[in-house]
Formats: sequence, C-alpha cells, structure tokens
Amino acid sequence: MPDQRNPFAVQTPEDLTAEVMVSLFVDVFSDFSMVEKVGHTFLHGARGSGKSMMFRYLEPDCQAAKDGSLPLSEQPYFGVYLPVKKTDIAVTELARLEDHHANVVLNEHLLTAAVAARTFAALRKARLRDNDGAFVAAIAGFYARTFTKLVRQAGWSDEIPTVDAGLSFDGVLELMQGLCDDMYLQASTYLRRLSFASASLPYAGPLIGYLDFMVPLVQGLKRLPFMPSGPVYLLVDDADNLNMTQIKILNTWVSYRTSADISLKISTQLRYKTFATVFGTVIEAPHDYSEVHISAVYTSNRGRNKYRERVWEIVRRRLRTAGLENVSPEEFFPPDEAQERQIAVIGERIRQAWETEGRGYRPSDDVTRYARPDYIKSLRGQSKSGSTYSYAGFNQLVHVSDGVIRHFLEAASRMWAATQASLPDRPIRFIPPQIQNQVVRDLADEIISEFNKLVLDEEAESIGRLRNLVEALGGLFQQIMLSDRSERRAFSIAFSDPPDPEVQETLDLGVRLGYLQRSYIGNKDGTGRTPQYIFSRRLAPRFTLDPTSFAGYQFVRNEAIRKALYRPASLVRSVRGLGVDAVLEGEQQNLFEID
Amino acid sequence: MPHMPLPALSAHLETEVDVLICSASFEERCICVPEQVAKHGVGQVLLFQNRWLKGSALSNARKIRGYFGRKATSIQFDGGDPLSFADMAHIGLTRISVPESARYLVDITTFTHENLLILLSLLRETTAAGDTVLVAYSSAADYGDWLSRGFGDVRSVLGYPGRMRPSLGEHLIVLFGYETDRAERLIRTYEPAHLSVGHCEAFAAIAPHLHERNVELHGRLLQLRQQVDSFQFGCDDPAVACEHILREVARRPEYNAVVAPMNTKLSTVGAAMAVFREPRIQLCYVPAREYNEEAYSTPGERCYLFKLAI
Repeated sequence: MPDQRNPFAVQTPEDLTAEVMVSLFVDVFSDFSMVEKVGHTFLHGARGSGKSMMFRYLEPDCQAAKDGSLPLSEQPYFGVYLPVKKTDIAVTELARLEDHHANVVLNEHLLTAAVAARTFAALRKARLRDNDGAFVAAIAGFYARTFTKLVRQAGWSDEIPTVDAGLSFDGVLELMQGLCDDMYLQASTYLRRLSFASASLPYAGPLIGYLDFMVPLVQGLKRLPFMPSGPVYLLVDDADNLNMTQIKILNTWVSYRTSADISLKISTQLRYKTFATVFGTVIEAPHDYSEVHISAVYTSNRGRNKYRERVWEIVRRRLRTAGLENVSPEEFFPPDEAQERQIAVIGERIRQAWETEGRGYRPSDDVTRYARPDYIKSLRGQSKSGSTYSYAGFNQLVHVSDGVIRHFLEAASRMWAATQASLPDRPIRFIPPQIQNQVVRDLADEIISEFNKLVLDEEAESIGRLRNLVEALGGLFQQIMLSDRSERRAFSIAFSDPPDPEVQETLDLGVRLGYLQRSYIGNKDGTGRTPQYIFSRRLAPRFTLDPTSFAGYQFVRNEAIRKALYRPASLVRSVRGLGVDAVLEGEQQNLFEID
Repeated sequence: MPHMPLPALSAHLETEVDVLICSASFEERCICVPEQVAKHGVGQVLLFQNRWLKGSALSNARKIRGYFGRKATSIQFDGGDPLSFADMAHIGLTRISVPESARYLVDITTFTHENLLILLSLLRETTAAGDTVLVAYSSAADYGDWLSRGFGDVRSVLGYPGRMRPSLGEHLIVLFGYETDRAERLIRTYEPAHLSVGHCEAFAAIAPHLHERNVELHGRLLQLRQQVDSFQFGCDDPAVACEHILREVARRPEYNAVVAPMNTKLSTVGAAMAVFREPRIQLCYVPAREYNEEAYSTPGERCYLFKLAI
C-alpha cells in the first residue's frame, strides 16, 4: 500500500515544531486583530476553532521561523504558551483547601510558578544565537541580581546554585526553568500530603504571586538585550480547565494594569465559569479586556467568505504535506457532477424566466436563491425523504463545517481513511463524492445521537427541550425551503419579543453545546440589536437543507418557540399542512412573523 | 499460577485472613470472593458501599453481611465523591484493630477504578511494615454490550497527583479496555502533547473473544490523531502491567506522564504500583454517570490472587 499518512488527522499544536507550524498555519490574525495587539484579550471559540494553533504560532520560535529567522529582539512581543489541561494545575487534592484561607494563596502560587517555568522554557525553545557572549553575560547577571533575589523573597530555603563561569546561555535558562518547576513541585508535594489528611497541615514552602514575582521577573527580563521591547504575551489556552479559584485569580491578574509588561491572552471553549476576581469585583469588556468570539466573526456575512479562504489555504497546505502539491481543494473534494449539472439546468431555466417571473435584483440572485432548493424539492417527488441529495464538493463541505476548522478537518480525516480503506492499493488523489456525502451524513446523525449521551451529562429535562428545539427548527427550515416563498434559505431565528427564561436557557444550552450559534442583527423596530440564533450547518444533512444559504432568518415569537420545546412535531405539522404563508395569515398568524 | 477456580481460593489463602476489604455492587461478582473467604475464616470485614444503594446492589450487600454477621462493618460513602470515599476509608482503616503482621485481603473486583486506587494508596499509608496485602479478583465470563455511559469531567485520582513539571507537556497513556466512548472522551477533552494507547497482550487476555474486541476498538482510537504510540500491557498480572507502564513512561522522559487505567482492575493495581515506584506519574479518571446495571457482566468461575508489595 502507498505510504500516505492522513494529512487531515488531528495534530496537537504544542507538540509541533516551529517549521511544521509555519508550513501548516494560515495567518488568521487579520480576522482577529485584537489577539496580536497589546492589551488583555479573551478569545472564545468552540473546540477546534483554531485557538491553540493561533497561540502556538505566537511563540517566539514560530515568529522567528515565519520571517526567516527574525531575531527575538526585533519581534513585537514575546509569547509564552501555557496550555491548561484538566488535571495539571487543578488536581483533585486542591478540593481539600476550599474554604481554607490558604486556598487563594496556594492556587496563585501554582499558577505563577507554572507561568514562570513556561517563560524560561519558551526562551530556551527560541534557540537564541549568542555570537559574542553578550546574551549569556546578560542572563547570568539577571540570574544573580534579579531572579535569585525574587526566589529568596518568596521563601525558598534550599540552596540556590550559582552560575558557573562556563555555563551556556541555555544552561542558565535551564537553571531558572528548573527552579520554577521546583517551586511548583514543593506546593504539589504539600498537596499530596493533603490527600488523606484529617486535619489541616502547615505549608512551609515558598510562595509566589503575580504582582510580587511574575511582574518584576518580566520587567527584569525585558531589559535584557535579546528581548523584544514589547510586552510578554501570556497565552493561557483553555482556561476553562482551571478550577474556580484559579479562574478568579486569572481574572484578578486581568484587572491589574500590567499590559505594557504582560498582556494576558486567554482562550476559552465557552465554558468559562466566572469573570469575578478574588476580591469579589468583576472584570468587564472593554474596560479591562477586549473580547473575540470566533464564531461571531466567521458567521457574519463578510466573515463567511474569509472563513472559506482560510479553509482553502489550510487544505491546500495539508494536501502539500501528502505530496499533492498540484491538487486544489476543489479538485480533491469534487462535487457530485451529475447533481451539479442538474442544478445548473434548473439555474438556467430560472435565469431565462427572470425577466417575467424574477424576484431578485439580478438573474444570478434568483439562481443562487432557488436553483439548489428547487433541485432538493424535485428529489422529494422521487423519494419521499429527499435523501439522495449529495453534500459532496469543497464548497458545501466548507459550509457544513459551520465556521469551525476542526469540523472540516475531522470530516476530511474520516473521508481520507474511508477512501484509503476502499482503495488500499492506490494513492489517494481525490475523495469520491459518495464517500464525502456519506461521511457528512454520518456525522450529522452522530450529532443527533449525542443527545442520548448528553442526557446523562447535563440535566435531562433541559436536554430534552433542546432536542425538541433542534428537531423543530430543522423541520421548520426544511418546510420553508420546500415552500414557494421568496426567501427559502432560512437558517436562523430572531425574536420579535423577548424569550422567557426557559426558552433562553434552552437557547443558551444550544449555543454552549454547539447546536446553535449566537450573532446579532437589527431588531424589527429598528431601535437596536437583537440576538440571532443560527442553526448548526453540520445538521443540514440530517434535515436535507441547503448548507450554502446564509441569508435567511425568521423573526419568531417566544410563544412559538416555547411550544416547540414541548411539541416540535406539532409546529412542523402545522407549517407543512397549512404552508408557511397560510400559517402567517391564518389562525396560526402569531406563530411566525417573516422578515 | 495465581489463576485458579474460585473454590480453590481458600486453599491458596493458607492461613486466616485478618481483614477482608470488599465492595457491594450491582455486579453479582461482588459476592464471589467473599463467599469463598467466608468458608475460609476471617477476622473482620470492611464492606464498602455507596450510601444510596438500591436494587441488586442492596441485596448483594445484605448477602455479604449475611456471610460474616457481626464481623462485617459497613463503610458508607457518597458515590462519585472521591473525598468522601477517601475520608470514610481512612476512618475505617484506622479504627480497626489488627494483630501484628496482619493479613489483608482486598477483593478488588467491583470497586470503581478510582476508589480502588484511593484504597491502595491508603493501605500503603495505614498498613505496617510486616503486614501482608493480598488482592483477589473474580473473573467475568462475559461483558455486556455497553458498560457505562454519560461521562463527567476527567480528574486526577486523589493520592496520585504526580510530580508534574509545568514546563513540560503531558504524555497521556491510556490503558484501553472496551469503552471506546469513554476513552475518546478522555482523549478529545485532554488533548495531550503526546498520546499512547495500550491494549491487552494476547496471551494474557482473560478471554480470547474479549481480546479481539479490545484490539478492534483500539484500532479505532488510533485514528483519532496523526501521532499515536501503540503498546501492549499485561491485564492479568499487576506486576507485569506495572513494568509495561513504566516502560511506556520511560519512552518519553521529556513529558509529564499521565496514566488513565481503563482496563481490568488487575492492570489498575499495576498502575498504582507503577506510581509507588515512580511518584512523578499522575493517574487520571473519567467518571461515568450510568452503568449497565442490568447486564454489566456475568460471573466467571475463576479468580486471581496476588500478593502486593506496597
């Protein structure tokens, strides 16, 4: 069998070399400009939306590699990447300290020591070339005058090694990295003793914090000749994995005005527990930090085109790693040609009829709006479920991935594996349309079957209501697509009256779990903005919807959605039986208002 | 050979057991070892049970108490709360009075992996130098189509925080069993810098048909990421499992090692032993919200008996 590794399989950024990162990473910072600017920033996005890749790319080794060995001193900032895993800083033993006075102090010590250790690890990874010995002299001086003083002040009682004359630049950094690790370990050893302790035990180790250790450390480092003049960017990835106390500590760090020295860049997977500090105050945007929501960027009208460009470039780079330099993403993920020809025929018919029957400003508007939905509609005459519609083709796959790059890559990874299994003796040059279609349909079914697992993770009634909402919206959008309305490609709802608490809770749960995305549009009265809830396009295959649509939304009343939470089939039946327009104009008039 | 028919357990125990430690469960297997030990003779029994036992678990608890009468002390804890289990276990172990050179027998069969690990760590702290700790494990003839579902957040096991150096990345080592969903959940949410997934050694599989399922599901997990190391480990001998785990840890010394024991309880004991030798290793656990109480397993006719060096 040809040796073709799956170029779309998941790779963890922190383990990638700078060279591989530079070859794979597509610069998205123009989409999220606040991330690279000085100042504290929260970056929110679903798992797989590219946050970790962004943060890893901001590390000095990648920044140097991208610009052909740009020296660290000429880079605008110094990135320190701190990926937070579920069980590293937030070990179970810490629960013993809750309601104890040492809780905040010890948690801050763990966080600070982790950050400090990573700072020196990042410097070592940058592999600075000390041609004339100036760097080693500078770092040795920093070690003797600043670092050891801070460590002693923290209460470190063991011997602190002196720097030997022949020690290299990396050797001095390794010494400091090791001491920071050791300060962390002293606290960790204390925690181990707490595992089965029946009474509180005294802690005799060092204690360091952000203001008394980290900030002076960074201020001292910044004065060294090899460091950038800009701040340290502390890149805390997946901060949701911190425990509640650690999150409050991080928020407290954000509240300090230190961004000229340390700018905190914090990524979350939309499960960040609180914005409160340890003092009980709350940090707020834009006063204390800027905020970026990846999904909001990539679901806006302009953002969707950007997202497609990003995916195209990412796929092109991945194909290159598989030896497919001359294959474009469109060629690698071809559509169902027979289907596209039939859609083109329908499109031509619409174009020719535009003069007399057209609804849009241009013939091409009507072709875009109606050709694909009309084709899907025509299939229903042949098979009741319309399930012969194919979702193959790069364009459709981009839309189905719903603004999250990992959704695209995971689907592509499965397609690659399926193609390899079906053609084991041949190199892969493209993914057959039937495999593309089957994989995205299987993934859509898996998303729905996830409800059976979610009902055990989350509160059962809430999940039940969310499931009903998903079924209702999917059925509703399908009926709209099959209707004769002028805009059939509805994929989102907005409320003309405020949602009640139960409806809002269900919507929030849907956003948190990825079934919906939240954006904002002008309200009906033109007096402000209102949330818009966009249906996940990953579900398009489940309900045979046109995933390329993004224009259509429906204003709805709270009462209609409330009913859908308990009787989803009833809503879909009434729309199917009476038609959307009839529902609007008849007794069911109050159900929906169309925009 | 530490593998024997259940009725032979008594003969292998030789002298009387001073303390039997066992767990009441919905699994019928929870009564197999206590039933044999009751015929052998025991000083006292610590019966661990979830405070809110019901159904078959409650009746099994009654059966076990019935074997031992006043010798049995119930240790009740809040299920799913490791601190509650640890605190109640600590009280139970420190309040019993035992002779010098006491012999403990732990029926590890139906403890959760997490509680078993906590218990072993506690025994390490509370037992005296001359004491003997034996572990017994009652085999299953077969397992149900599903074992557990609905998973909570991964957490480190109390007593096994490891000695993690924050400047290093994590090497997650999964001792995979049959629960693909659970393992997938762990891998997807943890996203370690490096990943190793292990499966049972063929000749050590407790039943060949179970081994085939283990290998097939293991292959699916390898598809999750581009770079995954694969290894084999012994699942029917704690000492062998311990060596295999330590060897896998040693392959990647540049990472912090986090081990997730998700196979047999015997291999989980091996994971504990690995940590006792290398305290830098952390153990983690993914709690389940629901177990297949109706058809989790069917009891086999054999059991294992090992002496532990803790």
